[in-house]
Formats: sequence, C-alpha cells, structure tokens
Amino acid sequence: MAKKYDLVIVGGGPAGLMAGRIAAENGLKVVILERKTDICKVRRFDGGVFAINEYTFGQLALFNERDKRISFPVGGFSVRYDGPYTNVFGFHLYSPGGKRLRFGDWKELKKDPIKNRVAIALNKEILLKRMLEDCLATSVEVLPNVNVTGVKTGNNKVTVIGNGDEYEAPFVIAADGSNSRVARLIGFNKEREFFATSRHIGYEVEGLDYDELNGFIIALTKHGFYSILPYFEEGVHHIGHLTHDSAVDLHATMQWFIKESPIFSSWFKKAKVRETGLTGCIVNVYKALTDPFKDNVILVSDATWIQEVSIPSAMCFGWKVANAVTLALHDGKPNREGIQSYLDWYETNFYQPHGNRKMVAIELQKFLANEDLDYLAEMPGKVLRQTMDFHYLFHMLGEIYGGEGMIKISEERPDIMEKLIEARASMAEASEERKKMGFPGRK
Amino acid sequence: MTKIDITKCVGCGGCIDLCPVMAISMVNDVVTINQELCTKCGICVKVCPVWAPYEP
Repeated sequence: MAKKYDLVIVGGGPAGLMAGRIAAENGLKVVILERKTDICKVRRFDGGVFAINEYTFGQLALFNERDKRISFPVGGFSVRYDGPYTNVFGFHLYSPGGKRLRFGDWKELKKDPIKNRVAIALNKEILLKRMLEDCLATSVEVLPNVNVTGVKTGNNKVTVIGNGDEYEAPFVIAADGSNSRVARLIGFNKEREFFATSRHIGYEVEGLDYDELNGFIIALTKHGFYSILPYFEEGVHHIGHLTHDSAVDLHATMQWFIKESPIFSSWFKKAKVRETGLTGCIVNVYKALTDPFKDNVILVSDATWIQEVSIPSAMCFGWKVANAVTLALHDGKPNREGIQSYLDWYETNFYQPHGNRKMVAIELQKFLANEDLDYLAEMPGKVLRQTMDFHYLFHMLGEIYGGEGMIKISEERPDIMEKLIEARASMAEASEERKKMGFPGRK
Repeated sequence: MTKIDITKCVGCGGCIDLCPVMAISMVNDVVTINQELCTKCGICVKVCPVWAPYEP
C-alpha cells in the first residue's frame, strides 16, 4: 500500500529542504526522501563558498550578520545561518608561472570586506542543519536512509519506490542533484546531450602561506585546473582538482600540485593537509534540460542543469517549485498547466540566458607552453570587475581574448596565435574523446 | 565480486549514481555493493575519484 502525500520530494539537499519547508508551511502534506543517514553531513566535494551581493539567475542573496540570516529579496524568503564564515572575493586566475588575470583587486577590496565581498565561505553542515530544523518545525516527514529505485507515473499522480516502500503524490520533485536518480528512472538520460564524466577530489589544507588567498583562485598547470578557496575557518583552504580521465590518479596529481608545482608548491611549504578533510565527487555533465517536467515529475536545481547551480540558486529552485505545486493543487490542476509558473520561471531565469551552454573541451596547457600561458594571463594588463558568477566570468574571458584581444595576440605573439588556432581546431575531437571516456548511463 | 575499500571511500555517492544496474546504495552511511545485482562491469572501479572500489 502506497503512503499518500500532496508532495514527495526526492533529495534532502538545499533545494529539497527549502521546497519541503515552504510546501509544508503552505499546508501541503510532504515527505522528503534522502539516501544519506545524516542529511547535514557533507560527503561530496563542496568548499562551502556561497555567493552573495551579485544578481545571479534573477535572484540576489544577501547575508545579514546582525540577525544571522541569508535572504533573497527578489523572491522574498530567507534562511538562518549562525555559523562561522570568512569573506571571499572574486576570481584570480593564475598561469603556471604565477602570472594572473585578476577579477578584482583583493588588496583594495579587503579594505571594506562587508561592502566588497562577493561570497562568504560558510559551514554547509550548519546551513543544512538550520534548514532541516526549520523543516522539522513543520509537519514535513524527513526520511533518511531511503534509496529510490523506481518511479511510476500516470493518471496525474506519481509513485516513488524507495527501499521497497511506495510513496504516492500528485507531484514529485526531483531534487536529487547531479546524476539525478529520478531523471534517470524517468528516461531523461536517454536523450540528453552528454559531455563528460568528471571526477573531482578535494583536500582541506591548513597553513597555506601566500599574501593573496582571500578569494576564489583558479590555477592552470600542466595537470589542468586546481582551485584554492577560502574555507569557513580562517587559515584553512579547500583545494580542488578534477579530471575527465578515469586513468588519472587524483591523489597523485594533488600531491604534485602541493609538493612539486612551480610557483604554487611554495605556498604549501608550511601547510598541512587535514586527514579528515578529504572529499570527492563524480559529475556526469549533461546539457541543461529544456523542459524539466514529465508526467508530474518536476526536476529542479542540479537535477536539471549542466554541472551545478550552486547553493543559493538551489534554494531559489526549492522556493519556486514548492509554491508552484501549492498553487497547482489549490487550483485543482495536478498537471503541467498547474505548475507552469515554475516552468516559466526556469525558462526565463535559467534556460534562456544560459541553458544552451555546452561544455567545451580545450586543454590549453596541452597546446601552449607555460610561458605562453603566462603571456596570456598578463596580456589584458588591467584588473577586471570582480565577480563570483561563472557565466559572467566565461563571458568576460570571451570578450578579453576575442576580437581586439585576438588582434593584439596576433601582433605581439603570432607564435601563440598559431597554437591557439591549433587548439581551437582540435576542440571537436577533444570533445568526442571526452565523451568516450565518460559513462553517460543511457539506460 | 567488486568490493569497496571503506578506508578509501569518502562517501560521495558517485558510484551509486553511475552504476548501470543500481547495485550500489547507501546503507547506514556506508556505500555498499549488492553482490546479487553487481555485474562486475567495472565502471565504479574506474570512475571513483579515490579508486575505492576494487576486484579482489
């Protein structure tokens, strides 16, 4: 016998917890199914950087230290956050030789961090704890340890099978993240454009020694990209690295970065890698869904996007979909038409501006020497506008290195221009190779 | 039969997501392979970021 609800939510992350709380506050009978035992414990790779003060996907996140809340004034909702945090400034991109392209002059920005920061590094476990507490203050049932293995649809209702039990509702929200199990079970993986399977590893490191560590650093080396992010504890940083090749030993390439890389290894001279801080993740990178709805299963957040939307956006997804479901049920429309407000919001704020993005396979470090990459990092010769928005970052990189940038490179360094042309020409083949190395899980 | 080295596993759940036959699940926070369902395709062994699954 299926247990009956107004709404079943698969996934107890930021999107699922937000959706659950809001739906329950709206009077719906809700259950959240989560496969972990401890919803608040973060096992997957996440540095805890939370973007604020910058409009992203039509929303704005603000951090109110006085009242210990993170708020979203465009949407009109907020969450509690009373844990520790550090201030984070926008991207600095480093070439192998330590030359950098700066989005923001951190030395200047640091003078007024409250005004100038574009993110805080927070303790995601505390954030999830507060969201879970607020959920449990309503009538939401939160069921951990549930592995979802089946989804049955039809007749304006959905049944989710988890650990052999059945949970039925007019709508199911798939808030189960990248590599969504629900998306797979209802057949989205058969058709989605697939780019790569990326494998990520993360270390927590104490005692990095370098004078500009207050923001999001991305370093390009012969082994690809490494990220260095402030952690919510002062003096601690999160080091991340990824590959699309399952033959790559990620511990080994991390050790290379820490011990042998030119320039960056010197930052680690006094550093200590925390044994307990190891994280990892695997992300199947698919193109964003054009239509995150099928037979009353509504996909949200990472389950419907390319790569990831980040925590603040996940919360916005949860808020929007919960309200859409509420209205649909109130209006007696347990169907697509009923939740059209969510689909329109997704289309307008997410898909139209950025949904067509494809993951591009260009590994510049394979075509250019370290000195060439150093030249490219210094070529713009100016500090750019600070941002924590990856979409804006990519757009700016296109602006800088396209058009006039190309002309400058051709004039100053025709040898580099030739290599860039070669790199560009290889893109299609590189993308194919990346696809072949991956595991798209078409079934 | 494919096993998971619990001393290496960080519990990220990527293998759970990618297993073609859903043989892997989170059981009381331990990533566990159901040996009756496992077909030894080797995907989890290859793809894990820390190479925790293995064929003994």
